Amino acid sequence: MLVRQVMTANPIRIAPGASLHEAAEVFAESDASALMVAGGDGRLVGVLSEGDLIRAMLPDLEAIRGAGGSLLDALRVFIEHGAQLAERPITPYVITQPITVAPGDHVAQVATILMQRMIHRLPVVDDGILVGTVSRSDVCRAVLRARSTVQTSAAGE
Amino acid sequence: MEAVRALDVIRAAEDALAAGRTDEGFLSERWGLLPTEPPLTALPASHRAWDDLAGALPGHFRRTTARDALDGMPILDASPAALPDAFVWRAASLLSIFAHAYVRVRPDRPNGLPPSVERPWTEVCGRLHRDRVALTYDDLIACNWRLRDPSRPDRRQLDNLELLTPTVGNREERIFYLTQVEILALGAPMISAMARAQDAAARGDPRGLESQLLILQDTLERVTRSFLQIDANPYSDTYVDPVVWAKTVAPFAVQIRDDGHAVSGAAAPLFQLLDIFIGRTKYESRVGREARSLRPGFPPRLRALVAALEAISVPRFIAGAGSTALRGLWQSLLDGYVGREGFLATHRKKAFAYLELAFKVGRSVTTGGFTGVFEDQTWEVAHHELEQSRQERLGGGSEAITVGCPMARLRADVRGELTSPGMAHVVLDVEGAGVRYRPGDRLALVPESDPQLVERTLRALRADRAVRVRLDARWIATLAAQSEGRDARHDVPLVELLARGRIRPMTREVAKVLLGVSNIEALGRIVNARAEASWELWDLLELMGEAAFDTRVFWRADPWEPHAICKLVPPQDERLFSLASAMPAGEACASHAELLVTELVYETPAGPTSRRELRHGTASSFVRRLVDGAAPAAAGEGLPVRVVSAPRFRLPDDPGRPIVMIAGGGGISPFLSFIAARAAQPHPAPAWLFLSVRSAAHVALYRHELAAHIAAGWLAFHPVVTSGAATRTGASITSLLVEQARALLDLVHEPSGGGAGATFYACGAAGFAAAAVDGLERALAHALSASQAEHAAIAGARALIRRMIGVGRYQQDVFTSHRSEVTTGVTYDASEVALRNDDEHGYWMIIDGVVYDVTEFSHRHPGGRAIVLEHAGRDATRSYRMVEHHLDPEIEAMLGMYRLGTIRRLEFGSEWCVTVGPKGLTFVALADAFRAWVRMLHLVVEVENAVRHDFQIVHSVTVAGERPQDMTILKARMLFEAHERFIGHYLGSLTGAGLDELWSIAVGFAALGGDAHRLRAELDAIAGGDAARAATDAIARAWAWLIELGRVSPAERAGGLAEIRMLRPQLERIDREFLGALKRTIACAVAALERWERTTRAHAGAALVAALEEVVRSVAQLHVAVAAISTW
Repeated sequence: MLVRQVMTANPIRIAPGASLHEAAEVFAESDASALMVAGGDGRLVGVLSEGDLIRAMLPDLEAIRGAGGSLLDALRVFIEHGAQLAERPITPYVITQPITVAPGDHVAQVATILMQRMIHRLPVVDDGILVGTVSRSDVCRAVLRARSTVQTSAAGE
Repeated sequence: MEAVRALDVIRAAEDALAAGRTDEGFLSERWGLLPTEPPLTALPASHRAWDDLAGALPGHFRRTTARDALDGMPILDASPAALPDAFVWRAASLLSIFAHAYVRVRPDRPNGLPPSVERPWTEVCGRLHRDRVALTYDDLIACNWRLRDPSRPDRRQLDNLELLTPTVGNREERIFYLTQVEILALGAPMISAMARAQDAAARGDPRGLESQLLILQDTLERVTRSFLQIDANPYSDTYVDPVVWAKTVAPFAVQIRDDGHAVSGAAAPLFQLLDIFIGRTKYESRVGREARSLRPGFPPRLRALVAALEAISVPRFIAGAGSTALRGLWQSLLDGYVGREGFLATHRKKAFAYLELAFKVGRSVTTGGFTGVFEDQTWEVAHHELEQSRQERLGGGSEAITVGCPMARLRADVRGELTSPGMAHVVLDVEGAGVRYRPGDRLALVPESDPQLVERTLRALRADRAVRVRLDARWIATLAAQSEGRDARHDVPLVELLARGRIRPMTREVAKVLLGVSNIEALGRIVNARAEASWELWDLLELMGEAAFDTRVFWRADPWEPHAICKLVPPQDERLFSLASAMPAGEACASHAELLVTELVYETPAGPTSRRELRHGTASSFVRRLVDGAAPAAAGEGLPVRVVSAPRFRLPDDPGRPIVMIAGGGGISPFLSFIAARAAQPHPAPAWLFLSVRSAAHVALYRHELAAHIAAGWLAFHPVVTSGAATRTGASITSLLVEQARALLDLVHEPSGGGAGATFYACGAAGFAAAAVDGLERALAHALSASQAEHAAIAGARALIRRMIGVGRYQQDVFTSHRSEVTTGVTYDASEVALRNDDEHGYWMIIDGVVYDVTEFSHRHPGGRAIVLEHAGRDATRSYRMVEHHLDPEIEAMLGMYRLGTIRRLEFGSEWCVTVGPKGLTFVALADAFRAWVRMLHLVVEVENAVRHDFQIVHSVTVAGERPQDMTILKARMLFEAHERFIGHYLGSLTGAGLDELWSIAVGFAALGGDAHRLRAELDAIAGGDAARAATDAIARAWAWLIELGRVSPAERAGGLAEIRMLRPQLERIDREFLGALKRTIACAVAALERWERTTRAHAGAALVAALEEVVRSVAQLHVAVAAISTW
């Protein structure tokens, strides 16, 4: 079973110059954990992950100390930082050389990458052009369905 | 209860010794912890059997018969009735050495000690009040020497000492132990100085304390230099061969009982006392715990001294005394002991070099108790432990231990008279700051960025002057440290960050971060070409801005983000400058310090990865602003400074020895201090100054400055003005030296050979230093060719230079120039470098992505040739960083002399494959797959280097009295061990899990249908096959044969040993041919990856599979070859 058979074509994209606020909106609407960043020509620029954004909002020890040092201060800093981040461009947070798969790769290979690298969704790229994404649920749905189809057909004989 | 004064403890001990009572140990002002009289050389006639056996020990080591001899020794009475008190120390020393000889003479462990040793040993240890029956530092070191020339009893120096009871008696044992005796003798003044310092602190006498701190500091420097005599450089007079040391000396002192203590560095009592004196309270590292646990076992007098020193804290007094001079002196004492260039760091670096080699030639345990084998990299563990224990003395673990840097101010009344175009001469006021230095020392200071550069960077960041930025932990700590804790800010104006941070030249680390966040193509080209050092932060930012990247993200980012400005601009490093002044003789502390600095100005050319721009060096332009009064820091609070001692750049101890100084540009700076110091002598010895500068004006300036000395006739001044290509190639300095070839040859030769025995010095940028040493070699060859054939003269000159460096008569002070930082454009691949690890192909190594040719350098390395060759052909970055060479600007600069180019940056993109690994389906990025192959290649090279060293022992003197080429039972044993280690151990490492990983990668890329376990199955079949069994049987027969040889008649033994001598080259050839073939095979596979990069999957997969199939064939052939050796 190959990627092209299970991938989601027409993935949700975001432009390289978008702001973090815009990215947050897209995340919320799409319920995706990673967005594909692609230029107007359809070429994949990179991937923006929700996790990296949240990590950027979380203050480190020095920042917490600077804000007063208590747990309450830390919680407050988190919210304040989020607000400050909103208007900044997504650029520094984009993973610029992401792992990609090709439409002709095997689903088991995709499954291996997803699990080992703790990724939820991979871009599918054909000659540099973003043609789709393949996610954990895509893999599960496709493979588990295929198995039940086999069983059904076997039982039907 | 009133605390006992340390001085009183010393007095009481001296009284007891004067009365002939030695049982409580040795302690005196004159000799410290050494016996006041040389140790006895014989026991009474009743105990002659012990003396006799002691004299025969080396022979028993050579034939490995010590156990038989000690088993047959009579059981003698060591009670006071039979053995008078005067002989107890000698008896303890002999019996302790016997006990260790009994255990250590053979690798198999005996069942306890024979009663002939055990009984009297227990008795004498009791008589000396020891807490256990064990070999002590006194037995092995402090009481184990005699004077070569007894008519000079005060000369307890290496050249007048011999071991009293040697075990193997080789050079390594002699120098290793006797240097420690010398250190005890040299270090004796430290003990009374500590006691008197404490007295001064107790009565609140800062002046009295100052003079004792001076004594401590001077003595510590002498001790450090004495320690450097344990020298791994084969051209040194006091060469300690690391391989011979590891196999014959080092294992001896390892404890033989579970409750025992090894005699290790931690036991050295002088440093235990110093630890207490500086206020060390933390002993949690392994080395620290070991040190502390030894104290109850000290002789009673030493225990009393420890208690007395613990009672009153000198650092606490200094912290409260409010004297800047005392604080300065205390800081430099600490620097000399625990600082980065201090005694402990010197010890650790040396230990690392010796231990790394030692473990690779089969040592499995250190005296410090670290155990392990090759793959565990035990030497690194031991090294970390030593570093940790140094850190314990540095911060937190000690009270008031750092009292802050001395502060320097600009001298308003005196201007640097040598200031001229391109050269800045600055006079700093350090009056009352407790600063001391010697000719050759360096001054460290932290420069500030050029204000113009700060403005440009600010503009490129699109920030105005009002912007403040928050700091990360590193910056916060730096601000606190540079202000003695007064500056506790968590945010600063961006302008200040840029002024105090490193904004030029661009580092690779920062360039990669910039590329990572922007992915701008032009930036990618720069990083790929390793051309980042041709840039500064501001113009890279401008480049990004031109590509429509919003550079404000950097200062808007939070401080913990990798692209935050406080991470891109780390705090500025301190820079070292050679001091150009000498302290007047007789002064305790300096009133001023002078620097003479060449201004670094260069232009980066316009090109695809660089742009045309005039650049100014950070440090030199800072010094220029100091001179011009344009650097406010030096006026107000002052500038924190630190003297960095240069034990390897010193005037000769003998003021009568001539000196020859070779300077390039600003490299004249330390020589001005040398000349000033020499000029203060009543009749200065001849001095030569060769100087290469860019302008005639400079020559005139120096000629004027030095006119009095030149006129007095003792200083010969040979200047040359260079320009253009001649400067770069060093042609001018070479011709200058060749002109004086005859005179230089006379200066090089030792007085014993009719020469003047001068010490030579070179100072300048890396390129100049390389030209100077080559120029001197050419000059010497020229002089020698008058009486010798051309090739003999060249070889002779080269040998002279190596020897001069080895004995410390050619010393260098090298500084970085921009050229060494800017890329040369030449690149190499790992597969090429791996082949450069033998005489035929030369010796190369990789450090931080840069390739160096260390063929000639290996003869010049102060740490010895062996450790350099050990890292040849592979990536030495890890070891290089381990010994903190990367933090030493001088070493970094010196490295520039041997630079070839860089490792080509390969582009693997985000290509990957999925393999069948040990845990099932496994994702492997192509870049990681490449690293796995290179790791295997480097492992093969590492084993190849280790095996060469391992076999080398048979060409060495292992026991006194044999010739290097002699075969002995001990050497035969080491030979068989080396081979066994190779077959049993190294081969296992090479064909273990690492190879499985490579196989799974190869199959994953090339042959999806290939059997994931075929390689392992084939290797298992070989290991269980007939050939492997026959090879193992052959080795077992060889061991039996060796044991038999110990028992037969001398004639038969000689015959057997002659056969083993013939066997050696066969064994070595088989092992090394296998490794050579293996390396070539793996290198071919790596080369395929390097060639195809991201398209490996399509093009090179089959080559990977073929390489591994070839490895399997090599392993099979190896066993056949070993089994076929006929002599077995």
